[in-house]
Amino acid sequence: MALVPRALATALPTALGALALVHASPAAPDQKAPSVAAPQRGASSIDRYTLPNGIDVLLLEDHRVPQAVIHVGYRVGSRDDPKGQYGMATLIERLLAKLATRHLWSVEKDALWRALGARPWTTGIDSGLDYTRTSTTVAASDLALAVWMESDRMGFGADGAEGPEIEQLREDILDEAREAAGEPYAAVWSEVGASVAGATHPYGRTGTRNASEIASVTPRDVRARMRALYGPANSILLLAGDFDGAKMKPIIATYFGALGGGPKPKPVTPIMPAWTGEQRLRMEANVDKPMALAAWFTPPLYHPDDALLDGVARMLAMRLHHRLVKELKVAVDVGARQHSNQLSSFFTMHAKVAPGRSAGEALHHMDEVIEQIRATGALPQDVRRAKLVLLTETALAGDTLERRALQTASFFVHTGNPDYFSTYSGAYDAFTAAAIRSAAVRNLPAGRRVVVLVEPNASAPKAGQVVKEKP
Amino acid sequence: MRRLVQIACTAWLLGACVREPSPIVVASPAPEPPAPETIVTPAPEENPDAVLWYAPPVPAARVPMTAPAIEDTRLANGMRIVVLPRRDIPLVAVHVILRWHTAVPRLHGIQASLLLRSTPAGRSRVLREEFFELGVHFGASSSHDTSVIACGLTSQVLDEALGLVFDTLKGSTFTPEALDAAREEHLRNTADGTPRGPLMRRLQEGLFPAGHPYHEPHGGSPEDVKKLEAGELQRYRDAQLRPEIVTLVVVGDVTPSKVVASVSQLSATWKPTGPAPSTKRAALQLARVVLLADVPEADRASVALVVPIASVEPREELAARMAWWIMAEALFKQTKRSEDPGKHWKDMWIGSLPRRDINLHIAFARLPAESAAPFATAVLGEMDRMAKGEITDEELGQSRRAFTDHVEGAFDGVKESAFTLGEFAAFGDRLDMPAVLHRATLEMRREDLARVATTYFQKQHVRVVALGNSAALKVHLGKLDLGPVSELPTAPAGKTN
Repeated sequence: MALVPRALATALPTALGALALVHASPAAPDQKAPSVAAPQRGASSIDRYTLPNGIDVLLLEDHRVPQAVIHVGYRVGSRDDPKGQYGMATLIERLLAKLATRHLWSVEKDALWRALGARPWTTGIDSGLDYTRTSTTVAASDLALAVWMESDRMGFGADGAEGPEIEQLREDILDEAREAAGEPYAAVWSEVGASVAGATHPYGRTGTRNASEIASVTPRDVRARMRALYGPANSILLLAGDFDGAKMKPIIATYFGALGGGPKPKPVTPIMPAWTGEQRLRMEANVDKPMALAAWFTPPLYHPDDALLDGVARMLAMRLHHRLVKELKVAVDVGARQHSNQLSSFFTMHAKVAPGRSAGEALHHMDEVIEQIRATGALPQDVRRAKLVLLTETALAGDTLERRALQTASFFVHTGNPDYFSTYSGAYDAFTAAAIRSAAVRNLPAGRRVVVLVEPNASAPKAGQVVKEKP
Repeated sequence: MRRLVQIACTAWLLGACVREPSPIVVASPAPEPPAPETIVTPAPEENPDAVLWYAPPVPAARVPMTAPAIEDTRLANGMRIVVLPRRDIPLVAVHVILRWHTAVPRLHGIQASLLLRSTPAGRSRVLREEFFELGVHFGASSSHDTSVIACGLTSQVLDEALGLVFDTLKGSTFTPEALDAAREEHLRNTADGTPRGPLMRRLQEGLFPAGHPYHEPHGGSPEDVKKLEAGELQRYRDAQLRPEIVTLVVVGDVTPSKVVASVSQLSATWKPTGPAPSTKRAALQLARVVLLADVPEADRASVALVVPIASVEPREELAARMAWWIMAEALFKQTKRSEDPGKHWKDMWIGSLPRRDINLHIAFARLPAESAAPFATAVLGEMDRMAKGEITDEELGQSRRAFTDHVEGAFDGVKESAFTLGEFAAFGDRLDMPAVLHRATLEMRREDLARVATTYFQKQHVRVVALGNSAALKVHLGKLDLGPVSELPTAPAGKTN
């Protein structure tokens, strides 16, 4: 309460200053009727700099639609969860979503927008193994307000890390883990990922096995974690859209520049799993169809072989479908995919088995198909098709302002180069049959992999569970 | 409310240019200062910068939207080509829009799916397999008046893709298996699984006369689609698929002049044969009426109040939609906050369905039969409020924001731009319509909404369609003087109510 008059007294001139800046930023309203022949303003290149507190700023001006995207990325994910506290990154992601700071609660946002005449917006918040992000599309005229709100979230997001809030978030996460146990085969995929990484790897934990660890996370732990990893020094701020970079920089400096930086992060280096040989895992699930799955650990995201393995996956999926589903009718559903991550990736092929056939039989035929690729490579038309599909998908992933912001942030975080699009799509464009074959030989050897065979069992959870072998 | 009150007051002060702040009323006490370990950065008292967060920047004035430069060409054979270059990524969207002269939903609705499964002249594979080889993302859809094939592709295969499209349009063949697959896909895509689906179907049957395309669901009735034969589809296509009904929209990494030259060459031998089929449609017969369909076993009635607005200028239509949107917000608040069981309306949907000849503004709810009258009265009351111009600043501001938000993304990205241009091109509208509507939305005044509401949102313009216990509905709705009550024929076997 004591702060109210002081805040108002100081806020008024500050806000007036900001108002002058923001009012000046967009182009003056054009009173002429819009013309079909009006010149199109194209996208400009990316302006990149770092504030003294360590936050990397990327500005991507694109004046084609009167909107802007603000993307804030934290170089933190579940790989960083402390030992015995798996789920911490997910919990902090939820806490950030609550926008529970000393200045604003999320439930008050509507009233704030109304009071200021801004158009309400929704922020997408999400975390994975390596990264946590907030992404918001706003009317271009509201961008400065969104910058303010995201700086508040970054600087004061730990305010909400209090007992009842953390307890509620822990319960929510545990509820979701219980719900996930009802999803067919869900545990199979998480077990495969963890088994490929190995127990000592940062990716070697799973939501199924480690879900209960979240119960031990305290508000103090959360605050310490946020202080250590969710500050400007470990983050990026990317603005994309219809704004004037020269006018936006002082606003960014005002709000994000005022935040304490936090500890400098350690550089991230790939960590390849150390195990060799073939591991076999038996699982049971309350499902109709058996399933066979094989997985390999593979090089990290944006490694040259990562792109080639995307190509192998496309070709393999098509051949598996042709051979196992159409010709042999041993499977009803097949797939292959390179799951790319920052420290290391993993490659999978799987088959859901047709009635009357076995998982072992499906695995045998999958092995024949992949061995054919290792031995003889791919036909030219297969290579071209894989290349074109991947080029189209890469371009579609950068279509729209919000997607482009996400793609640019990913390039920057993982390669240090926000303009990586040409290099990335160039890797697909350069596909050859020989390169694809050698990537398969190099990365998908027959004798170093994880194999999972899932058998139906009505008493097992739908998601599946590992069957412990009798000694 | 933490510091929100301060923020709101600050904004108000800025807006009103008041020098001295008015007394501040804080709704709830501010929270206790956080414990020392909760503070990420120094507390406001210790960090002069922290005070910045107590005064957020005020949004700037909205900037009118500008339409991009669009190349719009009509070829000698009547085909229209719309090209928008976006050169920053190697992506192209190619959309083929077929605006049928004589739209017959059961016949035209399936055509896009069928074209994708047909074999282009001189080729050995069907179009979708050819597209698959080129890495093209594609889809087919239909509306009451058009069919659309939408493709996304990397720019290096544009010429090949255009060649395939024209070999298909100029002449392609399909097998019985292809027809079965297209039929299955079409039925799946056009099924309306929403709670209002059954009522919408009866609404179309009841409001529009037999023979008018809007009499049927937009893809044809499932029963008719299941009975379609190859010969009938082929005859329809041969007569109707002519160059002048085609609009080709190309957006992305292209040079407009090269696209036009390429398409001119590809379609050079494709000429319209004979006079165009008649576009004459049965006159719209939208008499004032309460249409009831008896579904005695239904646990709740489905009720829709419909205000049809035919062929008005886009700004008038925009005003009508904004007013309808404000009504919807108010009605949702009524049902959300009400403790009156008569206002517990389920699956409420209030929106506007645009068509080529007419727009339908619809208020729909599922409710007990005895609540039909309170619901209709509430809708009529809101219509009356709009006509009187009793619209708050907040309501007007919110509707402006909602509608500008809707159009601002119209040219966001290659794919969305192609959909936007296809939609406006197919209906003969200006291609910069999103910018026109954006500006009109920003300029829209309370009086504009009231004027349009006075013209159209009147009791005598309302049509009512209701499904449920028709005897009970007749009693309850009959009290409201909404027109003569008429019972729709019982749904034929197989039709779902």
